[in-house]
Amino acid sequence: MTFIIILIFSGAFLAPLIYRYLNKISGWVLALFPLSAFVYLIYNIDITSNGGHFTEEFLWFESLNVNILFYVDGLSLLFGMIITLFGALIAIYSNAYMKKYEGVGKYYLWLLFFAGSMLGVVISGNLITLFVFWELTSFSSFFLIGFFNEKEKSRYAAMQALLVTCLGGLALFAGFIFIYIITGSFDLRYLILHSDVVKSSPLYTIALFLILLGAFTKSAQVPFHFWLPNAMEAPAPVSAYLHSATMVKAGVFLLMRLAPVLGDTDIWNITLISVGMTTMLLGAAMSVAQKDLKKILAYTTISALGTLVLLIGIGTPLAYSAAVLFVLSHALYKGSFFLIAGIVDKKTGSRDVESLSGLYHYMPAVAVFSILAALSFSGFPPFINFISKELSYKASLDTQFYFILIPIFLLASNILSMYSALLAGLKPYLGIKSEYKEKYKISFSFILAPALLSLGGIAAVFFTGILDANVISPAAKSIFLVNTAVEMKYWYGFNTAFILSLLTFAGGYFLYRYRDTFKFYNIVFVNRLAPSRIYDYLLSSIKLISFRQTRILQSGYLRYYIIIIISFLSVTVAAVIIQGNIINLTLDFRFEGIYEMVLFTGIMFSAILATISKSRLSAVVLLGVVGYGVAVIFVLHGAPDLAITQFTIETLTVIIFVLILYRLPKFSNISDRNSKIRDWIIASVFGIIMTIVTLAVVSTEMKPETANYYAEFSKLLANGKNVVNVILVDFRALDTLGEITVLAVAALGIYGLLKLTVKK
Amino acid sequence: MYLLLSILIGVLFTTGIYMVLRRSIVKLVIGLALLTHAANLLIFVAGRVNTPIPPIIGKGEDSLIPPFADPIPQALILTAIVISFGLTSFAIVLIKRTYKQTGTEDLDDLNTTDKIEKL
Repeated sequence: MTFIIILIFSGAFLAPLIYRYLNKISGWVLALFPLSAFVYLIYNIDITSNGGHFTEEFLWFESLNVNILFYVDGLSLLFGMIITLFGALIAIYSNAYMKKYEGVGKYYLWLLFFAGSMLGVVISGNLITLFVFWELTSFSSFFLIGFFNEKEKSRYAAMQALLVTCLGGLALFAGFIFIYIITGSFDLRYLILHSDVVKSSPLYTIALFLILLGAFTKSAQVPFHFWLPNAMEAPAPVSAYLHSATMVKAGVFLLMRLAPVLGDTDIWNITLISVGMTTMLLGAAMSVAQKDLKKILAYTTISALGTLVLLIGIGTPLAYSAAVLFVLSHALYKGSFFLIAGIVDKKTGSRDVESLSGLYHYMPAVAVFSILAALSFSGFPPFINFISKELSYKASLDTQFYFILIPIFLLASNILSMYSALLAGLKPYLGIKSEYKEKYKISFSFILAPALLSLGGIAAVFFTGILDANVISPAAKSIFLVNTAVEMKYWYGFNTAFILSLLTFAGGYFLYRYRDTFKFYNIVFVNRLAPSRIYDYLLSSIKLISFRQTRILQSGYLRYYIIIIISFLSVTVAAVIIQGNIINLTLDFRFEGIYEMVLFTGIMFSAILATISKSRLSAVVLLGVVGYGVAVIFVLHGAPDLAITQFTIETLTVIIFVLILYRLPKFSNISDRNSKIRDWIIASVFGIIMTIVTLAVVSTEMKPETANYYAEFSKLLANGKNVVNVILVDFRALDTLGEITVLAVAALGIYGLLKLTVKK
Repeated sequence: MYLLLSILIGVLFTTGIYMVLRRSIVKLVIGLALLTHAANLLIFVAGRVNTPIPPIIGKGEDSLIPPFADPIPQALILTAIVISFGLTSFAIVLIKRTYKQTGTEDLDDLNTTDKIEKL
């Protein structure tokens, strides 16, 4: 399993190179990567077909119980096959579709990267592994949706899809952590065995809702559905791959995967059924109001995803089988539909179903495959989708929830979907010829994928037995855990489900036939409370809030930053001072003598005068007085080295100041009186606090160990008598080296600034 | 002794902070220099000032004999003085350059590069 994941990811990273050197056939070459993964899966089908599974485990974070665990059972296999087979077909299709664009190498990279991530999701046996791959799919889909990044709409759609699915991803992560808190494990096998522990925990509800949030955002359930129609800005192959066959089904997959752990409780069933039903009907209803071919497909996809969630919510073996089969049949016809929409768009330059007509005469092959897909979509026999429709009707009739509301909703949405299917799949090809060019030439790689998918929907007829035994039943079994005896048949007898199917056909055809009377195009669904509006509102509010808080915190004025820092420091230190008795009042508070009194007062006066002086020169001189005064303090208290240095440095500083002073502006009096008062208050409070801090510091007990060490060993170890010097050039020589470096850099900077000439 | 030194440190901090809050860029540098003195003195006092005897080993002795002034704060301050000299000189030249280039000493005129455009 690891092997095929690595294979697809390496294909992704090779893609730009392959595109560069094998430009014309790069899609075909790249298709080999997912295709070989597909073959590998088929080769191993025996293991899962009898209900077994195989695993591969690598140690990762042992202490956190997080291992890379690949777990392949019937369900993984079904999804894995769809992902890899579609991956190959999409790559081939892209060979034709992406021909004339810039940056196609990157496109292939993200396409295969997505395929690998998606495959990772479905074969993960550890929740953390699953989550990582889950996020990678969101991440790569951002680049795929935003492929036409020069278009604003495209960037908006990509960002929206990313934000919505990543928000869900975060919720999902939190949900997984709750599961871990309950069970102490991320291992799916362990969780399935201990599902009663999970369900009886008080944390079950919150974990469930967080995980559902993740699944619902990914699978575009109402009210998070709005990103999917917008994501139609993506190139057609991306829509076919991500937005019909794989990524949007990740949420559905997750529900199926976790059904044995979280499912079969009232809250699970009712939530899933309610959300699924709503999404199913709203999606179908909104699809009929669209004119854009891809938008129609997007909304019907939302409806289909709703149906899947509904079926999982019903939770009977029959419903699971119907859901699994529907995953497959939906991927076949919807994938084909999206790809055909891409061809039509590319060749005619239009996706407007209202204006497209008579295309049969210009692209007969495309028309045939489109009509096949439309019939499959509508659920006509003998298409495989007929069976899944029948099964879902049967499942909807056989549940204790919502009385008979479910089949009614299902019927209504199927009728509406069928109308959309006919409109998108039939209407553009029939009717009067339009004024198009000659017959369109459609290359082999363009038509191959839609042809195979459309034909697959009908070819499955001949393999129902094999398909059921090897893929569908094992997949359903992974969800329900016991063998489910649901046979795939075309004729279950003349029963209610069959009548509902007949009603669907009649209703769908009726709507399509009299579409000019109904004028569905005119329906407007978006209102002020539409989720997409709420999304826009939230997004702009977040921007506004961050803008405002940035304006306050990042004013761009140095003094406000300093004021904030100093005030914060003052308040916190003052709080500590007020709390405790930190000054030792037995300190030596005596005044030393008249000389020191004079010295100290002199320094203070000089400092204060320097602040109010109106002349630059006197301010600099006063600053010098302060410096010399401090040096004298050093002399008086046993620090002759400091004093010498201070005298030297102070002299140099004053010289530099004076040299440059007359090139400097005169002191200007810019601040007004109020801000001066404010600054004096802030500064004085801080000064008083620093005085108290100094007293507090000297109130603590002095630990002489370090000083004593130097006192004892300066001569013995370093052969120096001046202990301060020995510390600087011997014990802490590297620090001094750093200091010298700083000085050297400053000197270089000064030299540069002085020599710098700026061309005007 | 400590009381007076503490008050001196407080005054130096007050004047230093007041000066760095000014809009005039020259005053800002003077403020930085005052803050340097305040910080150095604080470190110095933190090491206690009980004796005028410097930490120098006398002739014929192998190690310091108490009492002596604590050498560690002195080593720290020595470094600080030199570094702050580098800082001050650089700042002075930078101001000169800035003034020559922009013709203003008002910090409020110099903050345009990180001003956020209105939404």
